[in-house]
Amino acid sequence: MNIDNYISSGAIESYVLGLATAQEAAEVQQLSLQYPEIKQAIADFEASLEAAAFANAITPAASSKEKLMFALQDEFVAPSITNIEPSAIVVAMDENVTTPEQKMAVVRKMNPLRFVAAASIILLIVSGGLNIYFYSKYDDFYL
Amino acid sequence: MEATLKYSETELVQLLKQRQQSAFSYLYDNYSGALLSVIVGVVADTELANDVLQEVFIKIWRQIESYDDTKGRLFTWMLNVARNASIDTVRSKGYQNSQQNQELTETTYNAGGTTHIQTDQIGLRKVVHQLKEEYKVLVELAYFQGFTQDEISKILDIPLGTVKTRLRTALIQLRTVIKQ
Repeated sequence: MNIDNYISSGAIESYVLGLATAQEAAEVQQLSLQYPEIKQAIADFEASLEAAAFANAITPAASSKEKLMFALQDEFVAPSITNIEPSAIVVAMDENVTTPEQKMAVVRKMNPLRFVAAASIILLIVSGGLNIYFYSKYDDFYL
Repeated sequence: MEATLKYSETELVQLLKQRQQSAFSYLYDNYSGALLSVIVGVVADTELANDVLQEVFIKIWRQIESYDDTKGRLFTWMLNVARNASIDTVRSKGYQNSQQNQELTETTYNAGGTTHIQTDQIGLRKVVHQLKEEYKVLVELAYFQGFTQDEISKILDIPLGTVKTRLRTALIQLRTVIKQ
């Protein structure tokens, strides 16, 4: 096929601007993998579109960012969790541990969140046990 | 320190996929103005355009997994998210009604339109404005109003083949004008 003709056919612009049908888009994608010139033409048009949008940028309303950060606050990964050493490091260290002293060191390195999780589970079991205990006492009292 | 932070597009996408707040903040700071210009091109009312911008950033954040960097630049993907959201807004019933009310207010009191930006002067619209009339109409319907080529053929009562060739010629001209 004649690549130059294809590049100047408007098919690439149509694709980048989201105006191509699914079939046309698939064709452009396929050809861009085959022909570096087509890939380049796509990249060039994308870059000039981006530059044009930046040259005409409009400052959003002042409250806009704050509103977004508030709306999405529960969807961000909390920095306090990501900063904690991942537990995978503990597992990796385990494999190299030979002496009891080293094992102790690994245990002490345990992620604090895991302690909280373990403590919660113990509390849950204890509280469950107490429930049964008190319930049986309650039954005894009334029967 | 934060002001000097600069992510490459690949880094930014990676951090967004990791749900990092700092990455989203950076994305907003860097792209909101450019994306708002795209939205205003379709939704002329600035207040409404700002609402659409909110919606667009939430979509970008929630759909970042569907962005595929082998298919194009991050900005191109975001631009298409922005354009689609803008067209959806303009086509919604609420917007249609508000436009009718606006027209009534404008004709009655001649006081409306202060928040309307002269969209001919903005971004791609400005570029499109420089095209020949027969091309301008096609880009307007296809790009800014989101009609399919089939629909345009019916609206303008010209054959589908003609719509296709004219639109492509229009886009080629657009490319030339945009580069200047």
